[in-house]
Amino acid sequence: MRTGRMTREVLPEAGAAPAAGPLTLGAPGFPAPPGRAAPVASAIQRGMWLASRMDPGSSAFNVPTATLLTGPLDVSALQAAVDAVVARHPILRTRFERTPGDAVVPVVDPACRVTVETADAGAETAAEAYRRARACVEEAAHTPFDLGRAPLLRVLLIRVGQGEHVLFLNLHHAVCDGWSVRLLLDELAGGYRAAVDGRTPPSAPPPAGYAGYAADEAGLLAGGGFAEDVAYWRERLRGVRALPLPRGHAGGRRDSEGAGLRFTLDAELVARVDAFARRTGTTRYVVLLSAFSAVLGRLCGTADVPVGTTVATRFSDESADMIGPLFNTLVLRQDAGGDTTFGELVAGAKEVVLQAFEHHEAPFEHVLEHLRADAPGSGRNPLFNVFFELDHEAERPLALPGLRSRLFAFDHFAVKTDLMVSLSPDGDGLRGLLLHHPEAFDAELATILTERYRATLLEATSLPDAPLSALSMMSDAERVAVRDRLPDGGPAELPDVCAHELFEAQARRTPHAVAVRELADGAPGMTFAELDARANRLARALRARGVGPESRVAVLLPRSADLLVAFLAVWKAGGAYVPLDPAFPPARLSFLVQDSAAALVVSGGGLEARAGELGAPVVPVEVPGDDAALPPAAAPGGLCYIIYTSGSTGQPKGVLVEHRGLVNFLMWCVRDYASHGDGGAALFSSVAFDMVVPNLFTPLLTGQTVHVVPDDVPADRLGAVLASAAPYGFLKMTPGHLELLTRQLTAGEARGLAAKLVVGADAFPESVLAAWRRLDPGTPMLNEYGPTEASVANCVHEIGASLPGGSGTLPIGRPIPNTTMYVLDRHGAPAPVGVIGELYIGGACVVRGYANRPATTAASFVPDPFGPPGARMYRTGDLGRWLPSGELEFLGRVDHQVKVRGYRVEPAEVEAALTAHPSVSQALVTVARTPSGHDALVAYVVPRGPEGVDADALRRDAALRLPAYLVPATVVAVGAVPLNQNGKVDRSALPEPVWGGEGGAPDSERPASELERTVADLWSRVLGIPATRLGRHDNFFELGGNSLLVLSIGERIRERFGTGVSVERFFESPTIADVSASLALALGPKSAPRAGCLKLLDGGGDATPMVFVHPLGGTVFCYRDLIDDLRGEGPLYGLTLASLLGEEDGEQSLEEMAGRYAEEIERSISGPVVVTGWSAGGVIAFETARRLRERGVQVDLLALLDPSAPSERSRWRGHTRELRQIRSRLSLATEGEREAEFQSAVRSELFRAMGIDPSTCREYSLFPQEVFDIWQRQLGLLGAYEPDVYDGPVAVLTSEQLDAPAQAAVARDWQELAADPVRHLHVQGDHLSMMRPPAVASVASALRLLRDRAPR
Amino acid sequence: MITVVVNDEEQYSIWPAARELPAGWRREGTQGTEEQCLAHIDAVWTDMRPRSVREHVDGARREALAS
Repeated sequence: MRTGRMTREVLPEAGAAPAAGPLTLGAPGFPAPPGRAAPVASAIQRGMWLASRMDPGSSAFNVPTATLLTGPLDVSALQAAVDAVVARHPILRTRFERTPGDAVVPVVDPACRVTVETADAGAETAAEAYRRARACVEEAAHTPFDLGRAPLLRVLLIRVGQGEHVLFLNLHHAVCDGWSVRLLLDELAGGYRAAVDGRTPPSAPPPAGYAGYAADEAGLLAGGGFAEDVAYWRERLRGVRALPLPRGHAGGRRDSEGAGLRFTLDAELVARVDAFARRTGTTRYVVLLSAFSAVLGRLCGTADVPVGTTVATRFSDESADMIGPLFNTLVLRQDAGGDTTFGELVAGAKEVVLQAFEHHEAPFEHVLEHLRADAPGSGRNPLFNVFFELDHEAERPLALPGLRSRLFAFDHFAVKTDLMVSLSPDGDGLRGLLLHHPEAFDAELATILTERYRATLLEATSLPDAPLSALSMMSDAERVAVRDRLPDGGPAELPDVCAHELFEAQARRTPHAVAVRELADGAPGMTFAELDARANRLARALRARGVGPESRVAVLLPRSADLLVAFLAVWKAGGAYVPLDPAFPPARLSFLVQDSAAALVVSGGGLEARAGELGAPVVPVEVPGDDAALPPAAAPGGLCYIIYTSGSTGQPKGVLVEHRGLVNFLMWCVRDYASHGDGGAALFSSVAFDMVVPNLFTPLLTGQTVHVVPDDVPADRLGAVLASAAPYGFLKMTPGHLELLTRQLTAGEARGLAAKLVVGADAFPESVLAAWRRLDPGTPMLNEYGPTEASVANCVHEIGASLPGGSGTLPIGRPIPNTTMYVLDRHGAPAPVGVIGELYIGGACVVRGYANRPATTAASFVPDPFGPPGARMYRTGDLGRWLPSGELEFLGRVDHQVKVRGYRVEPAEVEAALTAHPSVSQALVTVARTPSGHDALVAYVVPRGPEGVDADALRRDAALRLPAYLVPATVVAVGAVPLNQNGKVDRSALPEPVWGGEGGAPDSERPASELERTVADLWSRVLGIPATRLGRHDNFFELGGNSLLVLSIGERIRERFGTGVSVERFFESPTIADVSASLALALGPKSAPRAGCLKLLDGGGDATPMVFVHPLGGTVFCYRDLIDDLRGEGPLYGLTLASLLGEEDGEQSLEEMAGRYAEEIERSISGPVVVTGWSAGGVIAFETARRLRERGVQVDLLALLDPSAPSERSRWRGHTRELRQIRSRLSLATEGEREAEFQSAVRSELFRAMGIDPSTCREYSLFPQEVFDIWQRQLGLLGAYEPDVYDGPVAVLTSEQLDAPAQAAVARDWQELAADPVRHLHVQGDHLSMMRPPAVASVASALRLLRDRAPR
Repeated sequence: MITVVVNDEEQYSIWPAARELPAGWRREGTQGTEEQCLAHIDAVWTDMRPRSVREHVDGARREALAS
């Protein structure tokens, strides 16, 4: 039987010989291919040649074998035997060449000889000698071959001791296979015997050589053969993907050596497998393969399991004596879905194997070339990444006459693919070797896989009729390990009370402490006693209207202290609150009130009229009545609030949160978040999301203050407003907030913001953390995870002090007390460490369910087999895995739910809103990364009619139905939604969204003026879209911009022009044309024709006009907060360095520059002025004022804000030198070091002395290089400046953080140059922070005082 | 095959019919596809309050009526 010659046992043994067809390779009956004389490489050899070119250092295709020989060895006879074998088989003298026509051809080198190399591993002890021999063998086994050099066979004889040798042979797979090696060993033994006997070893070539085999194959390929086979494989492997191994797919990289693990299947288990095979009419191979596929499918979370295997192609009698690679690779694709039973899997595998064998003749390399086009870009081998092999025979040693021989064991862990398991007979059992690419599969998983394999063989053969999903596929040891590890946050006291009862107890302890205070308002705040009393009053009113346990009360209020009154009152009355965000569209608010069955709406703060339209009676938040406490009504199991999250059915889902879960979370917040400081927390984002819950309630349970940031504080002032009440005890925020604050706060403000920072509600990128850590390396930070369904959050990771790498996402850590986290596979079994599964949450935090949605609740809240009896666990739909550290990692969503800017978004909900528009027949919403690296919603719509859709109109319409965060950033019209072969939406086939005008905007749409081009350039940098693709009417948000990026643009505009465009204005009309128009207005009419240095920054008010003179940096950016403070009182002007306005550098000296400024001031402003300068700007202001006096202009006041000393030439020159050194270091730094170098430079003493705020120097790559030139020139001007006496009123404002003598010295220096007595005032903050809130207020009031008292 | 299950708080859920049911849960009797089971739950689970909450509220109401 032909199959008897197969080196791999693939076929069923029991007479089920496959219909292999009449054609066998090398068999008579083939037409001789043309050009037979010209040697050709076989397909396998071409494939290996290619592989060796790609990985020249790899030894993966080495085929090494070693024998320990004991006894007297005749080395010359051995050499004679080798010579004879090499002479007999031309393939052992073959190398490969690439022809000019790009063919790979074998070249036989007639003179090639294989010399038996020798080495000596002799040592004092036998053990040491074996160790050395083994090292020597392993080194030789890993030494790669060069296919361009013959021979591709090496023989090494290692002397181990007296009469003891290791004979090592190594061949390249391009010239051999397992069969060939056995043949070679037999022939070597025969040759040795002949030589020892004094005969000449036989060296006549066998009747047929490998060249003939390769030529036959080439003939078939040239004649278009194998078409049918290729068609079969194309069909069979359609849509196949390499297995998603738990550690990822190494993508064909073979740059590192593999790792290996040996294991055994004992005789008892193998007997069981054989018995099962006999019962089911299959083979050992099929049963072993099926169990392997089942385990792999479970481990990888997929039913579709493709596994590669090899099959021998020695079918002709003559091929039995051939040395060469006579095998083919087949892909066995099995369906190991959870509903399949093991019996079915085995039957399927038998069929798969039989079919594969019918089509095994087409060389794999040939099939691969045809199928590769179907799977572009999937690496070298897109069809499989796991090999499974079963050797039919055990490996044999070289048996030389007169010597004892046995196999010499060594490791050769070079990997051909991500994972490979090979089994070979070992007595009655099997010995296994698992080779793996360390990047795709680690050692721990390797152990788990082999243990699971053994366990599954036993379990599955016992339960062949059970679905795979019902098998544990786990060893007893692992089951115990998993149970032990089942993660819970441990116990902690969970008081059996409601959240407001904790507040009431606190109010009794600290009645006079401030419980809530509104920021930027000046309001005194409410004490705990006052808050409790007001809440009692409202609670009585609510109870009088029937509110009790389980009642729902909606709350529509501006972000104010009233919110806390309302929430506490609802609880005290016994009910649950439903928070409404006034920013939501009315239709959304009405839905929330109706869906939650809210009986009442509590409102106030001017929102009463809107509240009245929501379909429920309105109760004012401020009511008269009795302050006394009410009898308790709520129970810990009762409902406490309903918060809505995006729902997949197109409507939001109301999450029913109970007091017990909230109390558990708040107790954790009290113990952990609030335990570091006593500054309370701040409420600064929408109460309609539970992100705010820790900030809202934790301070109330600890006697601290909730600082409320009102809704009308624009995002670009958030940092300043928050900083004004810092330090907080803790602050919880999203990563987006943290990113925003990184841009808005100085290092000092960042460090002083809070005793602890909690970042949650969204995946926390390491890059965001790294940016913050550059400002604030020390504040303890937490990454918090948890869906609304887990009562805010239940998993935290403590962020260490070390700066993260910046590429990944931070772990989400461990569960908090009284809660548990599970990573479960598709069948509900715990996943091993490192294996991706779905995150489930159990414990006290699990909420009741979804309002009015029994089915959704039942599907999402399922029995918790690990918890107490009757417990439920929440199925998050999030993917995650355990890290070896015992922490969890979050890895995205199971379904299509996405997070955009910290908000949960169900695309279906957005799709429902889009299809409600008459022009849309179908909509598909996904998230895509914008060119600037931010996630944004993309809508693909299929138009209903031939007129198509108006993207803008569609977005406007969606904005009426949806909150802003659900409105897609861009709308792409498509002819149809692409479907895959299963009829499911094929998201991967959707076109890339267009963020800018594809292929460039038409000329009429290109930015027209210089100003527009400059604005376009800024957009381009921030959005990451080439400026050439930006049209002047393109909408910033459709290009992927978001509110954070607006601020970034705003900053750049201010840096560039010294003035800005308000954020509100930007939101109203976010196009290049409109922003430029606003900017032109802000820059003032004078700037339009000719760039003047003097700009009107604010025109209102009738106080004396004030001119701000730029410091070293050349812009008036540093005055932005001061200007905000003084706005509206009198005209405010700024002087910007001429060279920043695109003029040639006209400044030859500081005197000349100041002269020009004085001229511009005289021309533009009539009447007296106040001239102000900060830092080095003080020196320029001084000279400017002097020049103004010379021109006869009345200068009411020269105000110097913490000015540099008037004349310090040597200091300025020193700075010039230092700056030059910094620039040279930066230019010499490697790309990797540059950012760190830059950040350390901008935080250096020099930059501080120059008055450069490091927070404005965020990223080196975005940092304008011209600024260095400007600073250097300016430092030069200052170093050459010789001041003269000034005879007007001068005031010097110094930082109170300088010690008194230093402050006095500054004033004294300036007094020496002033004819009149200098007024000296102290202001808050240090040199930098005096210009930023909150200290800037003291500077503003000092200036106001001086200005208004000055003679007019 | 999926089965409808209920716990002591009379909260409904679904569970693979072939798998061992965790303690504290009983089979409600309905079996079928996930959709069929969820549709059944939608029909029968009309009061989503846990039993203990329901009893607390009803008890409080009775007390209120009695007083």
